[in-house]
Amino acid sequence: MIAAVQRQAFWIWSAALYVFIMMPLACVILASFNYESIQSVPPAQWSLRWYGEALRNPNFTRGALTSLLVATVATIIATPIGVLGAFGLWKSKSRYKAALDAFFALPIIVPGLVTGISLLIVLTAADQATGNIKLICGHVLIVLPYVIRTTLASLTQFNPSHWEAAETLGATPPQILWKIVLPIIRPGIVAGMIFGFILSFDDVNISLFLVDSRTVTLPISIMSYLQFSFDPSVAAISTILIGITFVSTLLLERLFGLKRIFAGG
Amino acid sequence: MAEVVLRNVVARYEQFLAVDNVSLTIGSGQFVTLLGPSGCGKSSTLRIIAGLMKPASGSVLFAGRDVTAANAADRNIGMVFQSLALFPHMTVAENVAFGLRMRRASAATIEKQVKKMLGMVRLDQLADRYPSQMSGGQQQRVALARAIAVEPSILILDEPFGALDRKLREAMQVELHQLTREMKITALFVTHDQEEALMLSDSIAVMNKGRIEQYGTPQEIYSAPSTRFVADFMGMTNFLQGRVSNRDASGLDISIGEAIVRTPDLASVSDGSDVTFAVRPEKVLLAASDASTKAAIEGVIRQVTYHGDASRFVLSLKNGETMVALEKNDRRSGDRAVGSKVWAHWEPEDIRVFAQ
Repeated sequence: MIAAVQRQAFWIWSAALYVFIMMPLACVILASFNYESIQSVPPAQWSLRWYGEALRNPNFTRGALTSLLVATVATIIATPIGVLGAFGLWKSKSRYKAALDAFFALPIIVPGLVTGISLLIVLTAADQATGNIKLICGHVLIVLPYVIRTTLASLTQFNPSHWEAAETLGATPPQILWKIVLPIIRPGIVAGMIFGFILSFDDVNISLFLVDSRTVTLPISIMSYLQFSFDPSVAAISTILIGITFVSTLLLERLFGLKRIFAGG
Repeated sequence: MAEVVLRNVVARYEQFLAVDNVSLTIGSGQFVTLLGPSGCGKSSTLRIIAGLMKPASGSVLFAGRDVTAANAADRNIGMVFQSLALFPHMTVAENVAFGLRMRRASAATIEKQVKKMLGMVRLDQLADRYPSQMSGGQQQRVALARAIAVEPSILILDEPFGALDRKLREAMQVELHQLTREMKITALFVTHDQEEALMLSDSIAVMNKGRIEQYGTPQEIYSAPSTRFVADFMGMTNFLQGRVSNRDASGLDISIGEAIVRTPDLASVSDGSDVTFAVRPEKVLLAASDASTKAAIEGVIRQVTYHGDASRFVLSLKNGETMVALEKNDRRSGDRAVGSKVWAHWEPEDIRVFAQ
């Protein structure tokens, strides 16, 4: 009897939690199909009008291009650094290994606000950087911890017999890393890249301090648009972002299994 | 193929002495097995020969050349791992070619050798498959082909059949036996399965607590175990206490209670000393209780279990000890019910005597 009540309470609690999490997303998606220029859920009249508006808005399209460029370049820069860092941690027998592991996770732990302000101070002092360069510097920090994390998780799953087998067949350590280890852990690296890419593309906290009038990322341009108008074009662009994120997450799950990333190694 | 020699090899993990002064010679073209329970040091010995582990002291020689300091990559060995360790991102052909590519063999040589190896393990049709697309037995043969493809000085196999089911295991054993003899491969095999060791090997080294207890042919190890541990490990599971009552040139008389058993085994024991002797369950003969002789020990059947071709009897002997007998079901005579009295005896040459 008590067990049954407990089970039901748990079920209701979980359902409420899911509704709480999913509700805003559902509202945004519904609102994006409104014909009227006010936000209403559910829409009185359905239309794709605001998708057209959103895609015609040069602030959004330029923002999207900037975000795409910054996220791509940041991921390309952060990946080799992150993979090498993970190799180092994996092979390390240092007693500071755990501390180093935590150190590389710092950009996730330190509030984005703090990272943003610090970068602003440093990069302003250097005084040479244009908007894009500043953004890329910041976003490398966003991507890096995820690449290290997922690569290290893959490496800890790596069967040491594969290393030894290659060794007995005459391969040198660099050959083993390049021809055996790297191909086997590739899904982990790719997962980290996709993950970092999404978070870079989405980022507001750090970017807020690094954009200038000519280079604005998509999330920032959405924010500034909201200051003056509150029409469903914002909902439309958000829905597009939700779609892209959803697809990449599915891809991530396929390649690697999200569980493994978060369980870590 | 080369002769491989271990000289006074010692290895430690922290405080634990894994290999305790092991010396061993594996003749060129010989198939030698390290046999023992887990933790006996057989895997460490194997890793030392492979170069995957460095001994604390002692030396390893390949064809007279000291390779103690050489890495695995420089020893020209072929190894089959317990987990097989096939490279999952490479096809069967690429797996087999890997060692040759690392040796910078020409493309033509590699192609020819891979073809030959895959033909040898009958996988020519599956060269372009990935390991995950193959059965356990096929993967096993790929691992074997990959190890032999480099024409190694020694082929090292670390419990390679442990994960296979019984039937496949037996098929692979037959195949490995045939292959290594045909190609005259020097091989070192590690297992804890004594039947496997007996069947495959030219010589067996039985290991216990980091030492080699006995090194000999399968026949020697099986029929003339030199220590109590080897006797036990090779299935001589009945151990009885007795006292040497007479010793002459042709053997010993051992008295055990009222019974006196005769053996031609001239173990290094003196007249009047206490000894332990061992006899296999399948060598124990049971006679009906009225067939009393001096050379038989009286007992009562405590348990009977049926095993198809044979039945297994647990006896309580008159002196309080327990004995197990395995009797073919087709040569049974007399009463074998629980509680009935029988006389256990055996042929004199079927027991081994050990000093206490």
